[in-house]
Order: sequence, then structure tokens, then C-alpha cells
Amino acid sequence: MANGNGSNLEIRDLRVQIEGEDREILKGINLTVEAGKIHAIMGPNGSGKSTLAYTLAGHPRYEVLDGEVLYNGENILEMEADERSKAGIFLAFQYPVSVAGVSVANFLRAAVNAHRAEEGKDVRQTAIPVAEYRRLLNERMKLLDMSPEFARRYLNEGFSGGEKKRLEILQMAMLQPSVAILDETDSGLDIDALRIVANGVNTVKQQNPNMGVLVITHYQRLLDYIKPDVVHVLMDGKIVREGGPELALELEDKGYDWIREEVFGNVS
Amino acid sequence: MSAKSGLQTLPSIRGLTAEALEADAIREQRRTSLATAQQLPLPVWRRTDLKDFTLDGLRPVYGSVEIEASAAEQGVYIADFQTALEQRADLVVRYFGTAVKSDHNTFVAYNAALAQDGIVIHVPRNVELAEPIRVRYQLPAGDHVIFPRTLIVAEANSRVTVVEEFRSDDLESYGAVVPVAELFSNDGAEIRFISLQTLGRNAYQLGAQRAVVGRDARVWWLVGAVGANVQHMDMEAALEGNGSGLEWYGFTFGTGTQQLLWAPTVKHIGLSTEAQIDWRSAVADTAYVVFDGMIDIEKGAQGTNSDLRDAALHLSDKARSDSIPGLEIDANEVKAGHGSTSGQIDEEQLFYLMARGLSREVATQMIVLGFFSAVVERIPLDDVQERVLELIQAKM
Repeated sequence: MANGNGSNLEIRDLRVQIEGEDREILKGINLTVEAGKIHAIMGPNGSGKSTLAYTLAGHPRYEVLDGEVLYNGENILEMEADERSKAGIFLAFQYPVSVAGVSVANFLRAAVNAHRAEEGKDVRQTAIPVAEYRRLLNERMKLLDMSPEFARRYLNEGFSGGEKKRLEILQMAMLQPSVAILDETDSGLDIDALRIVANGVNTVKQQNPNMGVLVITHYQRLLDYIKPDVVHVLMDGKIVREGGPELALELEDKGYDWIREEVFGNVS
Repeated sequence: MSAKSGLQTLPSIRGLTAEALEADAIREQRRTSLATAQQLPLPVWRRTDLKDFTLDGLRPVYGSVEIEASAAEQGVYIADFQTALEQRADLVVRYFGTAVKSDHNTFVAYNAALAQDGIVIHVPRNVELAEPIRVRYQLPAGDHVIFPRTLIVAEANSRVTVVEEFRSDDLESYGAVVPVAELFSNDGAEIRFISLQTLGRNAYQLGAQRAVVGRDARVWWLVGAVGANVQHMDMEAALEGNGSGLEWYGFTFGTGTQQLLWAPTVKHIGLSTEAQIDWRSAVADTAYVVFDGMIDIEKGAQGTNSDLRDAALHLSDKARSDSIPGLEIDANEVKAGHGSTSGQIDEEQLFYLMARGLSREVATQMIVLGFFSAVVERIPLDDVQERVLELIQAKM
């Protein structure tokens, strides 16, 4: 499994449009997610936050016009989504997808085994032993306050918003990525669920101190629980401001308009 | 229990005369059926292409059946078809050709004339058979045809489970399986019937199955097809008894140039009958699968509750599927509905699974298995469930 080896994720001059649409959404992003650090990206709706998340994970609908994303010396933009995952990059989806007939337990076992697979070795050699997998899954589910029957349910089928987000973090806990991108993980969560999810993220981070985290959020709320080292403000497809945790509080207090005015001038 | 060993072969269908027929308790029906079979033309089916096919040159072969059942208990009778004709002629004569009429089409007529391999099961009143009965038919080679005959009679308040499978290797030349099954679930009884088609290349399966369901009786029925070049199966469940019920599931996985068709009809005849039908088909390459399903609610069948669903998953642009759900209602106090969907693998699902490290191939397999699970997970026997999963996986 890819484990925190201390590499930064360097996004350089990234320009992206949605396939088939002649409109640039990311207009030259430069951002480095440092190993072991928690970065927050904040921005108003439509600023390109989710586009960045999907592009980093390799969604085929997002077309890279220019730029590169370097990780461990490789440009991950040339990799398929599964290769990026195996390289240690994880996206917690804002809108997790449901798949009928595929149980959480079976899916996660396949994912864990895909991560453990090694070229030239038989999968039977590298696959996680069933007993060990069960132990690990139960332990991580407990961390996220999930009952055991959860594992038998179909992937996100009929899940509440909170259950979906917990499942995303459970997957992260099982796969132990070296870079985790959390896309609006707080949306649709009540305060109790938010605490559980944030606690899950923090625990995984403690287990794996070299993990870099990119928290994408509209609101400051999540950052009370997952404390960022750096805050980046994304607006109109560009990083327009960077600062420490105090920047998030300022945004919470004053909204986004003052930055817009400073950056783009007074266009009302 | 095992069947007769060794295969016996008749001259080809083209040269058959009444002299070749068995002189058993149904010899008159056999003679009539042979004459009918020879008179009837090949059916002209809109969605089954028989233009390269004829039974004429094929040779009937016997000894293809293998039966697996625990020793008969509590008066249960289980025997291969020809043995049953010797031992329990009364039973066979009483039911033979009453559910599936022998002149249904030329294939069924040939089956009625020539069937020797098959199974006859009689479960007395109030007897519940715990162990399933398993029947396997093996089409031994190309240029041959087998005529499996299944007759299941569940007397009042009895229960029985039967699993049959039609198999063959890939064949060098055309061969055929022409099966006929007749099921009688009498008052308060339940028959669970599973019929799987796993034939190899160059095989055709052309047959008919029909269940007659008595008062408060039930039929749980699963059919599945993964093999053969061409399949055409006419099927009907007649819910004659008041309060009778049917659960009917089907799966099809067509690849290569396969053309696989199921035509199930549920006939609601008694009062307050219930049916639930659910089919799943996947189709790849240039294969073609058809679900020609029908709910037929007869006059006087008040209180009917019937629901028919089918879904098709296309794994290539050139694969085709037809879903023709029909609804005919001649009664007024009824609930009936149908719904069918077809589509390709969902790109968002694929991306979600791949984003967790699964290769495109493994992710696709997982989604396809998930698609079939609505049917597979209902199979009450673990080993059959595993077998079905294996069959589906082997197609990918």
C-alpha cells in the first residue's frame, strides 16, 4: 500500500475545461500540497473547487488544457484514475455514487487488494488475508461509529447524506492514502456527524503523519475540526489569496466579496 | 441414483418413421406427435433467426441425463422419464402433454414423440422434500439432438426444489437441445424450479416450459442462459387456482454472436393471484438478447396483482437487446405494472470504483455482477448461487 513517503503534490499552472464545453474553469492553478500538512481550499460556489478535486482524481469529463501535477516525480495527469489511487491519491467525493448489488465489504476488499497488488506477483500472494481484512474493517468502522451491518449494505444505496460521507472516510481509513482530497466533506452533515467524520480524518492523519490533506470547503465550519496549516482562496479558477488559519476565520466573518473587490476591482 | 449409462443414437430426424418410436404407455401420443412434428413447418419467429438451422440432419441421442437426489423418502417418486413410463405409467399418462400441448410447435411435437431422457418427480400430499433434486443433461456432440422432458407433480401442500441444467462443450457442428418441462403445483403446494442453459458454441436450445398452479399454490422459478448460439424458450405460468402465486426470475448474458430469447407469460386466471417477474440481461460484442414478457389477466381474475420488470445492460455499442413487455387485462379489479430499462455501464459508477484503485476491467466486472445481483441474491440455494456467479463471471 502506498504510504506516506513524504512527497509533495505540486500543481503547476493547471488549466481545465469540461469536456465538450468551450469554457475554462481552472485558469492556471499553482498550489503545492506539502507532505504532512493540511491545506484548505475555500471559495464561493462556481469558483472551480470541485473541478480541481475531480481533475486531480482523474475524472474523464475534465479536460486538462495545460499544466501538470507532479507527485513523486511523475505527472499524475497522465495516469488513469485507478493508477492515481494506487499511487496514494485519494478523493473523498462530494457526491458519492451508489452502486446496486456491490456490498461495502466486497468493494473495499477489492480496493485494498488492488492497492496491495504488485507487478509480477500472484494476487493470492499479495491479497489481504480475510481474517485480517475483517479485523481491520471492523476497527475502522468502529472509529467512524458505524454498525457492522453497514458492511453488508450496497455501496451508497439508500444511504443518508451523513452515511455517505462516513463511508468516504472509511474508505480513506482503509486505503491509507498519502494525499487525501476532501471535497465538501462537510456538506449535508449535522454537527454530530461532522465531528465523527472530522475525528476519522484526524485519526487517519495521526496514524500517517506524512499524509498531505487538501480540504475543499465552502464554509469555515469544517476547519474548526480539521485545523489547516495553510488556507488558499480559489476564485474564478485561480488561487487569489493564501494565508494561515486566520484567513479562514476572516472569510467566515466577512464573506468573499471583499477579496473579490480587492482582486478583480469593484465590479458589482 | 444414476441414469442408464452409455449413449444410444437413432438415425437422423429426416428418416424417422413410427417404427423408431418406443412402444410404451404413451406410444399413441408419440405416433400422433411424430406425424404432427413432420407436418408442422419450422416456426417463423421474428426475433429468433433459424435460417441456418434445421432438425432434419440431427440424430436423436439417449442417455444424456444424470439425476442426483437423495434416496426417495416419504413416498416421493423420482425416476428418469423412460423408467417412469415403465414403473408409473398411470402417473405419466395422466399429466404428459397436458401443460405443454404436444402440437405447440414442431420442436415440442418432436420432444413428445421422442423424449426418453428426462425426469419424473411425484411428491405426495403434505410431503416437504428438504434436499433439492438435481438434473443435468449433456448434449454429447454436434449433429445430435436431445429431447429432455421434465415432469414435476407436487401434490397438495407438498414442497419440492428441482435444479436442471443443459450443458455441452463447444461443438464442431450444430447440435440442439429441445427441452419441455411440465410443472404441476397442486393446491397449497410449492415448486421451486431452476433451469439453466450453459451450452457451448454451435448449440441451439429451442423449447417450452409451463407451470400450472393450483389454489393457494406457489411456483418459484428461475431461468438463466449464458450459452448456445441461439435460444428460444416459450414459457408460461398459469395461475389457475384462487390465491396462487408466482415469483419468476431470469438472467441472460449474451456475448459473441449469441441470440438468446426468453418469452415468459404469466396468465392470471383464478381470483386474487399474484405474480412478480424480474429479468436481468447483459449483452456484449454483437450479441442479441430478447425479453418477450407478458402479463395476461383473464376475465374474472379479480384481485390480480402482477408486476413485471426487466433491465438490460449493454456492454458494447453493437450489442442489441429487445424488451417487449406486454399487458393484456380483461378483468377490472386488478393491479398490474411493468417497467423496463436498458442502458450502458454508468461512467460515474466506473469512475467512482476506479478512483479507489480498481482497474477498469475489475470495476466493470463488479458493476455487472451488481447488476445481476437483484436476481442472483434471491436464489435460495448457496451452491446454485455460486454456480450462477461463476457462469456470469466466466462471460466477462
